[in-house]
Formats: sequence, structure tokens, C-alpha cells
Amino acid sequence: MGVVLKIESLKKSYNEKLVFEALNLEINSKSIFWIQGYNGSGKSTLMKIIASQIEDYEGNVSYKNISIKKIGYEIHNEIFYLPSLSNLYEGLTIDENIYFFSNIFDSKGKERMNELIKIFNLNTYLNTRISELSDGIKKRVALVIAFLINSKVLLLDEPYSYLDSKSVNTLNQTIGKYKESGGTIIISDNSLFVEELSPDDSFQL
Amino acid sequence: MLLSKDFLSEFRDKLNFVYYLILSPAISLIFYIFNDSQNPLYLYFLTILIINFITNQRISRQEISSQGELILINMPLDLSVFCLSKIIFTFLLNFVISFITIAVFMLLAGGLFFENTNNFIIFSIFFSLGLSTILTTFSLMLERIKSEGQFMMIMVYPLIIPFLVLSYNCLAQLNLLDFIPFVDTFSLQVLIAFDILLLAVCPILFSYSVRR
Repeated sequence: MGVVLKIESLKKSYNEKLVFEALNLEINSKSIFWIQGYNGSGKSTLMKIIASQIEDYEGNVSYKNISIKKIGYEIHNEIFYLPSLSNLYEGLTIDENIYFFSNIFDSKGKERMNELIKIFNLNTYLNTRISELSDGIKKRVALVIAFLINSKVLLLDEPYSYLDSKSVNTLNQTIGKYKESGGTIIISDNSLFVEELSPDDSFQL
Repeated sequence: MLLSKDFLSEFRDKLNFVYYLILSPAISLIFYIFNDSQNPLYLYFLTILIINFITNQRISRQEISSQGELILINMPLDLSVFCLSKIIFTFLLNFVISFITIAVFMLLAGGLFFENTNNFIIFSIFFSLGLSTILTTFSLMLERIKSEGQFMMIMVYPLIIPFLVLSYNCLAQLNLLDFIPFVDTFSLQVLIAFDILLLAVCPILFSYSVRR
């Protein structure tokens, strides 16, 4: 288990308001890392920096000893970021969204896709447009896409929001299997559901 | 893949068809009735300009999630390729809408409002292409940048003003020349060159500005 992500002297401000500074972290591969913090402490900002969505910061973030600023857009096949509100195409159906994203990313194949759809109980909604679904179901669709992609690092930003208790259990089981298969998961959430996963390490912002 | 997603999103809803069928005649009618200009050709291209503004803004909004983020920002995709695909989609869409607009203008003008069909077609293609390129790029950038983007529109002026001046000069010669002399005009050739430059520069500009 080596270090897969290294954050050194990270500093980020928004309009002269300091979010965090001198942040140093090391995240090991094949582990579950928990980021906690009060609202507005910068959890999502940190996740977005690691996901290469924000490039305007000081310090260094490296993935497998290479600075993520040097890797380019291919980093998104290695590190996948799932925001708290789902990033799906509202005009397309569940099926079409999953198909679209699985073709854009390097993904695991149709068998795993069908398995995830079944696990997250989406079979009855496949031909329904995203705009017509509840937030909970949208979240489940986004989670299917997240676990379908062949990423090495998965960043889950408030993954338990909108989920019912059955879906929370399903998510935790899927996270466990993802870790066993060699993936690294970074969860940013204040809910106690994360404790059930027995995270390997945590950090308080 | 990107184009098929756009066509699927936009035309699945029957209301969108109705929207485009109403948009073109409505704007055409407003410009035609309330403008004293004797030349319907200028009115037609002014109408196309306004319709392009509206459709490009609408199309760009589809790429923004409920969080206000560009959906494709997390993807292993060169953003300039995405921008280019969007430009092609809006160009095709606006090209189709232009046929509806031509029909409406022919109805209002009582017949053909241009004398040389070949000149009209070639100018329409390059006018729509340039317009789609500029407007798609900047409307996507504005959707992404939002509150920080109030000064972004200033950046569009160095591109759109020369483009419109060139287009106006071409338009002035459209009915005066035959096809080959029209193609040989300096204005049209510079317009075509400008379109090629826009197609090369705008996607790269979009990719750079969004990542920053």
C-alpha cells in the first residue's frame, strides 16, 4: 500500500477569503480516506482540487508522484469526482446517461453496468428522463456511473445525501468491494454512515 | 457521441420543435413589420443574427448541471473537442431554422427576396458558421464563469465586430455580382478566412478559459 495522492503546502483563497493553507496530506492506495469539516470549511474545494477541477491554487498535488497539473484531462480516467448534486443530462433517460458516460470514460463493460443497475435498483426507471426523477434516484444513477468507471481513485462528495437507508447499505457494500479490488476512495461527508466503513484514515478541515 | 447526445436532448421534447417553429416566424414578423427598410435581404440576416443569439444561449444551458457546473468538466475529454462539437450542432440547428425563416420572408415579401441563389447560399453558410462559432463559444464560457463573466462579453467584441463588418460588406455585393465574381470578392474571402481562424481559435480559447 503506497502513497497514491500527495498534497503539499496547499493554499486556496476565494476573493481574498482564505479557505485553507499549509495543507499537507498523504493518501494511500487501496484505502478509504475520510474528510470531515463543518459547512464552508473547504471540503468540496479540496475534492475539486484533487479532481483537477480547480487549478487556481498554491502548493502541489501529485498523483503517483506526478503533479496533476502536468497530467491534463486524462487524469479524469484515473481520478473520478462525484459531486453532491448529480451532474447528469436532464433531457436524457437513465439508460442514455449511463451509456453516454460509459463511452466517454474508460469503463468496466456491460456486465458490470447491468450488475450495478440491479444493485442500485434502477431497472424500473431505465427509460425515464432524469428531469422526471427524484433526487434520490438521480443520486443512485450518479453512483452507478461512478462505480462503472475504471478509476483508481474515487472522490465522493456527500455521497449519502438523498439516499434512503437501503441505498446507504448498498453504497457502503459497493465501496467495500471497490476498495478490495484495489481502488482508493476519498469521502467528504459529515454523516456517521462513513464510520460503518471503518475508514483507514481521516482528516478534519 | 457528443453530437448524438445533443440531438437526443434537444429534439426528444416535442415542445422544442414547436419552440423553433414559433421562434423564427415570430422574430421575422416583428422585424419585417416594424422596420421601414426596403431591403428584406438585410432584414433576413438581422433576423438570423437574433435567432442565433437566442438558440446558442439555450443550447449552452443544457451543458450546465443543477449545481451550475459544466457537466463535461470532469471528463477525460479535450474541452476544445467538446466546444467544436457544440459549434457543429448549433450550426446545423441554425441552418435548419434558416430554412423556416426563408419561407416566412418569402411569404412576407411575396416571393424570392434575393436575386442570386448561389451567392445567397454560400454567404448563408459562412455567415451561420462564423456566428455559431463565436456565439457558442462565448455563451458556453459565460454559463461556466457566471458572475465573474460580466467582463467576458467585452472580449467578444474584437471578434464579433469585424465579423459583422465583413458580413455587411459581403451582403452589399450579394445581389450585384454573379457567382464567380462574388466568390472572388475580397470581403467574402476574408470572411471565409476569418471563419477558419475562429474555428481554430475559439475551441482552444474555451478550453483554456474554462480550466483557468
